[in-house]
Amino acid sequence: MTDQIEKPSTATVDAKRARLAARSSRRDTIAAYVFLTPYLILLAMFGIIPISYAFGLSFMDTITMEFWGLANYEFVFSDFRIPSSISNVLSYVGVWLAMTLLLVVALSLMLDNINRRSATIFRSIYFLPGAVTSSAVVVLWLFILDPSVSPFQPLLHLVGWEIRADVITGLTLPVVFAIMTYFSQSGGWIVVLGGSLSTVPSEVIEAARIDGANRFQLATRIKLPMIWRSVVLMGILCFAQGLQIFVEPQLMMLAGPQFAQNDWSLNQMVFQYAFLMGDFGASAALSVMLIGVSISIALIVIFATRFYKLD
Amino acid sequence: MATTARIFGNKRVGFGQWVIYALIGIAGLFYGTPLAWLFLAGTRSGSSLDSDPPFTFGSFEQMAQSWANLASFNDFQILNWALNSLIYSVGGVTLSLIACIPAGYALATSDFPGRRVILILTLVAMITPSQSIVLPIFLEMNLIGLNNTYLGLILATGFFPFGVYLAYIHFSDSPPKGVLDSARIDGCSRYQLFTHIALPLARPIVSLVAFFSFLANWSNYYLAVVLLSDDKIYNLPVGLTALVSGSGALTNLAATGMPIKKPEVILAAILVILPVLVVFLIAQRFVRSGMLSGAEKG
Amino acid sequence: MQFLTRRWALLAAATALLAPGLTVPVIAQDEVSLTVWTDTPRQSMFEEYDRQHDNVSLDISVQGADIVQKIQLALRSGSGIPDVIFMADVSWGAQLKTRRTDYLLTLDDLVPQEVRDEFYPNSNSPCLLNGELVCLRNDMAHFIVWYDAPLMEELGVEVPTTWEEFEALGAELAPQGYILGSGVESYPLVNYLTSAGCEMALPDPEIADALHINLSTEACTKPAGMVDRMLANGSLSRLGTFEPDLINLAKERRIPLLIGPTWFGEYVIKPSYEVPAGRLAAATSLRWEDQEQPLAWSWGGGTYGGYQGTAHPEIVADILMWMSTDVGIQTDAITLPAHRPSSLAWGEKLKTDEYYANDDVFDIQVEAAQYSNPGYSSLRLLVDQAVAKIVGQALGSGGTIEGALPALEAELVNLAQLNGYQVISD
Repeated sequence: MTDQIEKPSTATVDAKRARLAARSSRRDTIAAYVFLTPYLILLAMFGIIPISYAFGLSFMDTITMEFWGLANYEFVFSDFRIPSSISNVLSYVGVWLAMTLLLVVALSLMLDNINRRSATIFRSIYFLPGAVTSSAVVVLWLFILDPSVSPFQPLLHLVGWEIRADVITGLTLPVVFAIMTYFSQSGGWIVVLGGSLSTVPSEVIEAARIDGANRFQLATRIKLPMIWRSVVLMGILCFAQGLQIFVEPQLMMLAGPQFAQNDWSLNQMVFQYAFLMGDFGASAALSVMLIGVSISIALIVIFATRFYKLD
Repeated sequence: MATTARIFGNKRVGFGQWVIYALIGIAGLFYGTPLAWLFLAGTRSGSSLDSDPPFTFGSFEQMAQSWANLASFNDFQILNWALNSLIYSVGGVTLSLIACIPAGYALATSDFPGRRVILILTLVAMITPSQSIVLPIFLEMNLIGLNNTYLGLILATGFFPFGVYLAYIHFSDSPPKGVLDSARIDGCSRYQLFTHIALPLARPIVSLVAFFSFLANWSNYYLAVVLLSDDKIYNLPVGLTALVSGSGALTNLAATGMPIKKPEVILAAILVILPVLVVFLIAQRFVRSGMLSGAEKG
Repeated sequence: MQFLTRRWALLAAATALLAPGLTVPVIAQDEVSLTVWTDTPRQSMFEEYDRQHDNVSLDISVQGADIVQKIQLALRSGSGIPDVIFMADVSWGAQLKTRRTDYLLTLDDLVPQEVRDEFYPNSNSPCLLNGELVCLRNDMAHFIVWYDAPLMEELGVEVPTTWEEFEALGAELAPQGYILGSGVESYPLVNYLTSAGCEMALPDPEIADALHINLSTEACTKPAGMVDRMLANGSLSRLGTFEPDLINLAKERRIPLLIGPTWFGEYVIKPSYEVPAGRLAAATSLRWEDQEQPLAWSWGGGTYGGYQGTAHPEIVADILMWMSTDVGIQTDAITLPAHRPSSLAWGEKLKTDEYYANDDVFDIQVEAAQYSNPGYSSLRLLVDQAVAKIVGQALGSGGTIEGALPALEAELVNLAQLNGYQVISD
């Protein structure tokens, strides 16, 4: 706002104006920080301080509270379960990402092709599974994955799966968890991409149509390139989120000990170290590494891609 | 997806439209089936769940019986948990609004030292999944003695960087700078500008932030399970999980003699899901229009 | 030496009768408030303790299956640590008694030997960590034989007493469409695998924190081979015990006999398998022909533990003992008490229960109690989950359990070392 007060004038007036502008900008700054105070307190309490604290803790023996260098990190790297949980998480993220990119984009483009009211109704239907969270997820999926009681029974029988173990070994756990997350998350993304698609100017569509583009060409050559930034962003955010998978495998134990997957994902290992072994130092070390990956991804998204509006 | 690609390639327009509807419908079937099944299952007995075809309708008497069993558990503790969930959600949503809306406004409307840093930190916090700092948050809350309190969880869920970003995007375009400037010339203070001009126009963004904040709060499991240890102040997801694992309802495992079995657990799951569905259906209009303003995150 | 509070209170009451003026100060000073974490079935028992003891007031909170986690958190915060807990899973004891998680109170000097002797042999083995008594067992859960008496008669077959007969019975009945329970459920599987003394992470009686792990012996390959053959011919199901299809088979009377823990009759076969009254009977645990007596694993059985930092260790010990050994309260317990005198009172109702085909169901449970595997102990690693994981992978990819033993051994060794155990594998 200060830049608007710029008119040619004499030196004295200039100096006065500069003083006024400085005072005004100082007041602006104070006002801005007043507005920001509640948020900044929360940002410090639940962002900056906990991460710094965990960082410090990861170099300590948390019982005697003495500094012991990289011992916690060494412990984590020597845990024989870490490589398998890394590969579990990566295969899960891969499957989930592929499903999300293909299906969400396809469904969004198709929804953009039908009349608005139907599209709204279907978007709501797609969102419904997003309401199923935490233990309700397990209650539901325990049934869905069992061919003898599943609402998708005919489909499972068609593939030749007769018992729950068939389904789980047939699909493999990464795929099972990917399907679970896909169901709960994709609806939200379809809404987001629907929003992006509606910003494609109708003149562009009209022009392409007049040039003889068919539905498919319209979708892949005109609309998709115009929303690709949103699609890439969705992919990156899903990747960052997927690395942190916790609830789905953790709650599998509700289905019985033979389904328990206590050390399947990296975040579960964070949990295991802290709560099963009482080793908060090792837990903090693994946690810090995971946060490090997430923050790196975040910084790449912000600076390398400029998806987000900074100015 | 191979089929979709092939069908998109079909040149006959009328047929193409038909195929698109069919595919959208099939997808709708996939998305809709689980919940339809779950609501039906709420009316069935444990024996029926194991032995009858998946889409059997039980009876309302059975549903009432399951409900009565659920209600009898620890003096209807589940209702207590639902009330707690309401407290956490209302508290968390209110706090996040108090924190997010003015913060987004300040970031969007004025240029001040530190603005860029705060914005970048907000984006980093928003992209970094919240699960990753649950444990550090626990350790910190532990230091200040807010573990196992209503306030602790409400404060933690009040931190909602996504909401700040949504508000920031909103206030970057609306109200138009001209309106603010003229109001300023009319003698409005910086604070009056916000409360008298910007805020009344910000209804959509307030609803949008409230909606997302509610979704996150109502289904909050990981943070809640770590911060809360007293069953009297559990929220619904944590309580339900404790109920399921404690009663062995899904595994038939624990010999507990509790009347909490599969039908009761399914009913409890419906209880968790229902408010989200209702809020979603009410908020849908806002969500659509709010999304159009260019905000991007699921 | 130490005073049990109950006796102390009695003494105080007796004194009060003689000298009324002394009553008020004595009782008032003894009013002690303790925090209890329990599961739902034990809640009313703790409440009863509270009611019967004027000098103690209990703050009882019901917890789910995450008590260990909650205690870790409470220990970190140093407040809200419960004085007494009920542990629904035997492994929790070991997890709560480590350098990092020093929760459990050592009961060696607090529970008299006479009291310890009243428990069934080996029933407190999950409470012995390196020779220290850290908890008291609530209930027994050893594996016995459950069978449908009229159905067995109809089929013209005898109840087996050895594993060899069990396998032969399966081979005879499988072609007719009958199964003998689940062959993949982790606890029954561990029961099969340990029945000949296989060293699947058994604590060394002498060396602290040392586990015997050796799965290449005949003691392991023999039972593994049996389960493999029985899975192959279909006499053991590839379904879990509680999967709907297995429950449906049970409802269709396709399970004439199965190996299950003591609580199976009342809590699985009766309510879920819906076996009608007058059919269910029990037989003692199975042994191998070359064994003198059976060796039975257990599935569950909770324990009571106290906090080492409690302000009132004597009262805590008194609560633990009262909960696990008070005949009055244990008579109405939902599962077979581990305390022998209590269990005898508890078993009376089973003898007249019309549900069972025979009136010896309780006597058989008592007889089999002596066969409890002393290796059924509390460990910081979860053997059943390792078994579920490795065997699940092997069977899923078309392999056998016997073929998976080396992988299982490797997994157990890794887990044991990770959790700070010394591994003995000869």
